[in-house]
Amino acid sequence: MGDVLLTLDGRQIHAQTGATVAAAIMNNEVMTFRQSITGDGRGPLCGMGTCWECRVTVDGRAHVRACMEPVRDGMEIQTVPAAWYHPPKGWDRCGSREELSADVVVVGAGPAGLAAALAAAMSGSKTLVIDENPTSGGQIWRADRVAGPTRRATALRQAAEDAGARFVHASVTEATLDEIVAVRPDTRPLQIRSTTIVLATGARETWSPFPGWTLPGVVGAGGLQALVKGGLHIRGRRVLVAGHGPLLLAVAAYLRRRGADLVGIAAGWSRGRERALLPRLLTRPSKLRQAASLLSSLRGVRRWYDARLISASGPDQVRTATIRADGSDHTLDVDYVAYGCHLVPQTELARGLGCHIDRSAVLVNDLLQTSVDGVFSAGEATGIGGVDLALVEGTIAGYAAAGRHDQARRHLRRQRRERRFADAVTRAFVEPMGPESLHGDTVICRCEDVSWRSLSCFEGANGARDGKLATRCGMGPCQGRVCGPINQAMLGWAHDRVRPPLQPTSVETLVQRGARENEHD
Amino acid sequence: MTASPDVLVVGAGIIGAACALRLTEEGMSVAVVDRPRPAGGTTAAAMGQITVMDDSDAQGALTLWSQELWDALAPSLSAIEHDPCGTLWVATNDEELDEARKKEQWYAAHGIESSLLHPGALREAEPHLNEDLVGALHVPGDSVVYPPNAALSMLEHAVRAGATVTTGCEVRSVDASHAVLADGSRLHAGAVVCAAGNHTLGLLPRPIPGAAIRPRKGHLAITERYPGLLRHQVVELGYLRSAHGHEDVSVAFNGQPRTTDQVLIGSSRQYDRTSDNVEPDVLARMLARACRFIPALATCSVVRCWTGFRPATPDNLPLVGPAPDAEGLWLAAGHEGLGITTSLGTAQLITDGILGRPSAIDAAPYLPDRFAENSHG
Repeated sequence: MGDVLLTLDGRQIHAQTGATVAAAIMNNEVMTFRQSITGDGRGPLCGMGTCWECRVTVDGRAHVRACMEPVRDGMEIQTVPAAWYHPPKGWDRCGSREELSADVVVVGAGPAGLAAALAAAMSGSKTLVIDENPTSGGQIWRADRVAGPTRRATALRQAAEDAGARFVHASVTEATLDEIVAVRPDTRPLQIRSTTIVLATGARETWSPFPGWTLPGVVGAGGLQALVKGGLHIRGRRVLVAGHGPLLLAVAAYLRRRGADLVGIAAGWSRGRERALLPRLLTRPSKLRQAASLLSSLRGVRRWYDARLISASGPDQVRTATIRADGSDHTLDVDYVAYGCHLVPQTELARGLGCHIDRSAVLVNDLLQTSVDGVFSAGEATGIGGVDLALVEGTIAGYAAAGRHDQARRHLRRQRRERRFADAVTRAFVEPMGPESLHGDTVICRCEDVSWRSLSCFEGANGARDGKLATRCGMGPCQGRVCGPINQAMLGWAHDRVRPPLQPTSVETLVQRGARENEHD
Repeated sequence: MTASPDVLVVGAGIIGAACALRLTEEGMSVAVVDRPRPAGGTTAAAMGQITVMDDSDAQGALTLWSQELWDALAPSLSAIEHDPCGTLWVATNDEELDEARKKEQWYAAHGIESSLLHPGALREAEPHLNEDLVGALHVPGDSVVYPPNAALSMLEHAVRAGATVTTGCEVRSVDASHAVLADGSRLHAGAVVCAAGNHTLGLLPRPIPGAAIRPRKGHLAITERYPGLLRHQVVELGYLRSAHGHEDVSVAFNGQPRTTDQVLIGSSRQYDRTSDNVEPDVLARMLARACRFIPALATCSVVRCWTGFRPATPDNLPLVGPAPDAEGLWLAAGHEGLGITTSLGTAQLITDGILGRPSAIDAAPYLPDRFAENSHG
């Protein structure tokens, strides 16, 4: 791993090859990546490209997600608020539209997508997998800059490729029943025609806002793990892990292995419910081993149960965090808060295709077909259930998408078994989200700085449209991916309509995407 | 709404909201009804320019008067993001520059400040415009607002003055002095103002000869925040050709700086579309047109795209005034792409009409029965 030399706000810095821009910035003690529209300093939150909090100017191109961008030699990074505008350095027109076709297009190369691709390709379907990360594995098997790609992800991808599946690195911006449109890292649009789609779009973290949650250094739990995998130095840093959901323990163990100084785990769940998982664990030896290894790696780490994060403070970045547990408040000195309130399925693409959504997840039948003909969904998108459930669902969806219903059905029993286990894990670790920690001026929509005070009057299903129009809540670059689940939980908002582009897309890309055949230039 | 109000306003878009505001200011009791929500239709999708347009004398009179009313009202409205950015009508060739000169004369004749900018001055005024532009007409008095909040704020004022606003009210038909709801019940009022945009004519008891409102689809895109990229509303001089043309799809560049530092990009026009989906090829043409005028836009990020349906009439003028043969029923609809601008003039015409007094401008060009007269005349 060699060094690259780049500039950050005019000074030269070093970064390790393969690191993300986000990691390079934070490793140089800069935590504030941008100013919010009301002048708040902001830094990375999700670590996986959905929240857009980490956007910086790279080589003159504004609003680049630092967590998704690898460092390059000679790169110029600016975190300073842009009061100017320059066309990007070395910018050239993006190339014209590229067109591909397949029988089955799998969106997402996490465990579900990889399993689906393998099953579909083995069934003889021309299979194409599209993912916005350069390395397959999704979030759970995200490649580690130090340790390299996850072994299971590499093996599964290799098997799928050997069976004939093709992998494409691009972000999906639009989908219809006939075609999927995506953007290549070089901003070139890609159009894929197919008859069958498998949505393996995974999940993202969600958060119950509290005063101080927008401070740089308050990062998603999975978000901090992703940043560390992207090269962020965490050794010796004091980290409070807080929130709920089974991911927290895995993240805590990971961070500790990487040398973080865990000041504690403020668990939102109760000790009793955690213990109630034991009988089910005893029936699943492999999971019992995983749990035992997890607990042993967290030995000696302070844990609070029924705990809640009350506030985070520090003038410019998080310095202290206060939790409420055991009937009293504890204020802890921290460098990072790794905070998460479990996961929500990523359903934007499914909703854009018209698929029915049930309790925030894509509604599927037993063979994982959605309410729309020719569209299947597998893994976390159909309901949070973890990697083992995602793998078996991917296999079912892949066979079903290739028309091999007999093969698909062979895996239904295993799916039911994994689903039962996943439900038990949810009961043990997941809490309902409520507005207990909110203050009137707590920011809900971080893109547009919309406060709880200005949103709380928009209750009910219609609130989504009314609240958005009146306050701009959800109209920023994350397109409601962060505040949407919060408002659904707190205010009962319905999902709002999904319109392309599904994520911010350059003007030039949209021009090339919609150009008629004879208009290419 | 137990007692009948003096006026029932059907539709809580910008037109209905403005009418409700003016009517309550005159001391009348007003009830406003709308189907899903206030400002949820064309108003929610609109760009929000407050612009004087010279495409006909009647359009000029209404937009000019409306702009004066806006300038007076805007400071009292909240969160409307009123930006007095002015308009640059930009020319790509000498022919268009001639057009700009004619425009300048028209504005001067109507007492509106405007000035021709040569290329150097244009570059200074708007540094990121394409260097090949041959000049522009600068109209400093134009401004932009955020339409949904403009309508909501007007409604808020009206409510404070005693008006009621009821949503979830699906009106099936209107007649002199009442509206019939989907459940068959009737809302009675001294007068009814039908300001239901594209739906207006379908609610009337009988058709108005020659009058028509055709939904005219438009696409819009809004960028991320780019401080300093755009300072003025920029419109290509070919805009009116697009607005009045009858091609299947026409696009013309109209870019607006928003107070959020975002750039709002229009415009496209299409008749006979029923789906409100964003059409990639139309969007592409519209954005390519925008890049022709502001090349730096090419690398900017678009955060959202959407569509809306302008209520278009055969002569590009709105239908404002009494419905023929139904005394007490008034129309305020068909404003095409100028509803935000002309909402206040429209509301004043309606208010004056209901009170039986003359208006500051001649109301005749906008009367809903004008088409029948023309056919006889």
